[in-house]
Formats: sequence, C-alpha cells, structure tokens
Amino acid sequence: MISLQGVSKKYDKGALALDDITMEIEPGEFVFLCGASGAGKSTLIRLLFREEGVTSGDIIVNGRDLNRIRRRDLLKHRRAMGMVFQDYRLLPKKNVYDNVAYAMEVTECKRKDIKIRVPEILEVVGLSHKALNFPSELSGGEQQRVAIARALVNRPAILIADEPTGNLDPQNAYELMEVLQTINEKGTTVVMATHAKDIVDCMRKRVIMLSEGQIVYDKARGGYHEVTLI
Amino acid sequence: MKLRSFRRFFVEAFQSLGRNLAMTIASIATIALTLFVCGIFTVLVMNVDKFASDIESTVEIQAFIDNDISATAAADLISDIRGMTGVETVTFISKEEALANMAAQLEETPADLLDSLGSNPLPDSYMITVADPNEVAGIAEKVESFSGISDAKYGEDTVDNMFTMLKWVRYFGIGLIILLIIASIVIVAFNIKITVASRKWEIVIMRYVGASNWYIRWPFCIAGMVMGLLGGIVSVGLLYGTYSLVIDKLSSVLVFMNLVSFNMSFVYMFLSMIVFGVFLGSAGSLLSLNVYLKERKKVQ
Repeated sequence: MISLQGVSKKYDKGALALDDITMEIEPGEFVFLCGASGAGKSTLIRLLFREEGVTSGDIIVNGRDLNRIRRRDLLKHRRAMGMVFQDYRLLPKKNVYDNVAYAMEVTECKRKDIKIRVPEILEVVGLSHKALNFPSELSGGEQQRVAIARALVNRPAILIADEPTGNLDPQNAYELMEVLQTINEKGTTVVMATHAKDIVDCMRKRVIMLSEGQIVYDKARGGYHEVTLI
Repeated sequence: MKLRSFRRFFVEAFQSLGRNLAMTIASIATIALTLFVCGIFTVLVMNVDKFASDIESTVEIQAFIDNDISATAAADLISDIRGMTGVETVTFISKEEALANMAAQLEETPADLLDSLGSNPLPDSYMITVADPNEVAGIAEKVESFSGISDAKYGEDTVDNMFTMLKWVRYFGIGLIILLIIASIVIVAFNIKITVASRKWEIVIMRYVGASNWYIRWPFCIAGMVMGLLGGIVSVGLLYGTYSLVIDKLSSVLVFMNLVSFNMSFVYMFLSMIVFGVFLGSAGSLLSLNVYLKERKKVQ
C-alpha cells in the first residue's frame, strides 16, 4: 500500500529532513508515526501526499510511483488519501453536514450520492445529531470528528492524521482514537503522526519512530516505553 | 469539468463579488476607464484618418504654365492633360484671376495689390482634379514633365503633415492604452487576491480533498469575467454618451471637419470593448490565483 525505498529529502537550506528511509505499510494497518518535533514526520506526510518530491529514493502509494506521477493521476492519488490536521481546518460558515458534503462537491460527486453518503459517515463518527450545527458550536473533539468524516467521505484507502489529538483533552482524544480504531477495523489504512505517548502506548499498534530524519524504531504492537530502552 | 459544477461556480463568484463590494466597484471602474480611454483614442484616430482622407480627396493639382508659351501650345497642353487617365477636370486660371484670388485672400483690391507689386508676378495655371486621391502624386509628376509646365503642386506638405500627426496620435494612443491595460490587470489581480486570501482555508481544503486546479480557479475566473463585462458595458455607455455629445456640440463649430458618425465600425468597436473587458477581468483573476497557488505550494 505504502512503500518507501531509500527515501531522502533535503531542503534548499541544506538540512536533511529525511535520511534514507525504507519502510512498507500494508493495507489495513494502523501505524503511529512518532518522534520529536523536527524528526521528519511532517516531511514524510508531505511526501506521501505528493506536496513535495523526494531528493532521492522511491515512494509508491496505492501502486502509484510518486516520482513519476502525472498531473491527472495526482488528483486521483490525493482523492485516495484522507487528510486530518491538528487544527481541524473546517469552514466556519458551513454547518457540519455542509463541511462534510463539501469534500464530495469539490470532487464533483452526484447530489443524490452526497445525500446518501454524508449521513452514513456522520453516523460512523457519531455526529448524526449535530449535522446542522456550525463548527463554533462544537467541542474540539467533535470538530476533529467532523474533519475525520470529511477526510473519509470520499472513501479513501488511506487516512493520514497529523497530530489529530494535539488540541484535545484526554477524554476527547480517547473518543477520537475509538473513532479511528473503528475506521481502521472497517478496512481503512491509518497513518497517524503524534507526540501523545499515552495514546501510542495504550493502543498497541505498529509504531515507527523517527529521529533526525532516520527510522530508529519500527515495531508492530510497539510503544514509547520500549523506545526509551533503546 | 461537469456542467452542474458551473451553477456552484456562478453562485460563489457572485457571493465573492458582493463580499468585497468596494474592491469590486474599484475594479469595474478601472476596467471601464481603461476601455473608455482605448475607445476615445480609437475614435480620435478614426476621425483624424477620415479628416486626412477627406483632405486628400479634395486635393487639386495646380499646374503653372510657362509665361512664354504660345496660344496653340497652351491649347495642345490642356487637351493633353484632359486626355490623361485619372484626370477628372481641368480649369484654366489666368494670371489676372490668380491675382484677383490673391487680393481677395489678402482683403485688398486687385488694383491696390498690383500697385504695391509693380507688375503681376503670378503665372497662368491649370486647376486639375483627379478621380482617385491616391493617384494625385503620380499625375502631378507627369503634368510637371510636360513642356510648357513650370511647376505642379498639390499641397503635399499639408497631406504629409496630416499623416505625421496621425502617426503620432496612434503611437501616443497605443502607449497610453498599454499602460492602462497593465494597470487594470494589476488592480483586478489585486482584488481577486484579497478574495483569495480571505478564502485560503477553503482553497487548502479543496486541494487536500483532491479538487482540480480548474475547479478552484473557475469561481474566481467568473468573478473576474463579470467585473470585466460590467466594466465593458459601462465604458461603452460612457463612450456613446460622450461622443454623441461631441458630435452634437462640435459639428456646428468645426464646420471644416466632418466627424465620423455612428456606423457599423462603432458596433464592432463596442463589442470588442466588451469582449476585451471580459478578457482583462479573467486575465487579472487567473494571474492572481496562479501566483497564489504557487505560493501555497511553497508554504506547505
């Protein structure tokens, strides 16, 4: 599903953000991407989304070689990936339903499909009863669930979440992880970049730890407590 | 791009025009002013052009006859000139008539003029009109080569001056028009840029969920086109009103100059102004959006 072979990324200023990364993520996996700030997590996410190109190495996502991807296929690639951010990035003037439906509208889905799909996905994230509320009327956790619903409404094969619990209190963070767990159980591959040690240790999923652009730890059912021992 | 998306593009375009009403009005006014000035210069060039060709068409050749020519030779000469291709009429003007004309121009009597000059220095001449103004120079040259003709003039200096003036009016007009076009594209681009900045999250989200660049561009492009269309219509109205007024007020004053009246050329010009307005509006918006999309790429 996601394959990186010897991937390095160097910026103009000379800093090596990623250094010879090789890893495979299988369909249906739940992977935590961990590491301190500046470790290379965000760079890796940008490369996966093809916001930027690699300096060297190969990235293949959903069978597409991102080094040789054509402009037309880039759209298909992005539509096959759902993105969730720490700051939610919801449209404040649209209600929950419209925020989610928006992702389908911009990909030019039929209106009748939107009417069926949006309530379905709001049900999955447990927000059917808040469909007509505006983002400002929701808690942080609820706003993040709207963002997840929006990321998933086009049925992407991969969900990439960049610090999704960063702005949430422990209770909301825990509820959000339950939603991500449910989504993963339904078959979506989840890659989540996070600092939250408690969540990583509690979930017992695959953990890939980055430090100074290199993978220093990669273990199925891993956790932060093991890393400190390395 | 699917057709149903365009309904959405139009709604978004009009919403954004309404949200930034002051900038929208400023952009429409700039486009209108640009097109109005373009129109004014085009009309000016049309009129100078017409004035020049009017003058050219009324140009007569004055061929001066040698003083020592015999009556028989003079008769042969007039029939030779009449027989030339392109010559319409040939009128003989005696030296006495020429003196009388000159005296009339100087507001004196021929006798007083003759007194001051001593003797009549003016030669006999022929006034020649030609069928095609473009052949004036050629015919004048041929007439001058006839024996018995000392000189043939057709006011070439006046015509040349007119064309030189026309050339400079054109250069100045084109220069000013280019400057105004750049100014209006920049102002429209600035307006759209403000709109784009206010909707940056929406654009970022659109890109993250896989919207195509044209899906993002269309609402802004339509907004630019609407501003251009309105600017074009306003400029046509202004130009029509101004020129109607000029014709009304000046035609009685400038009796020697026959102004170009509204005809099909004006219809084409008005349509071109509107189409060009739409082009200016869309060019401005696409320019600002492309710059913005590139910036977003760098930031993220």
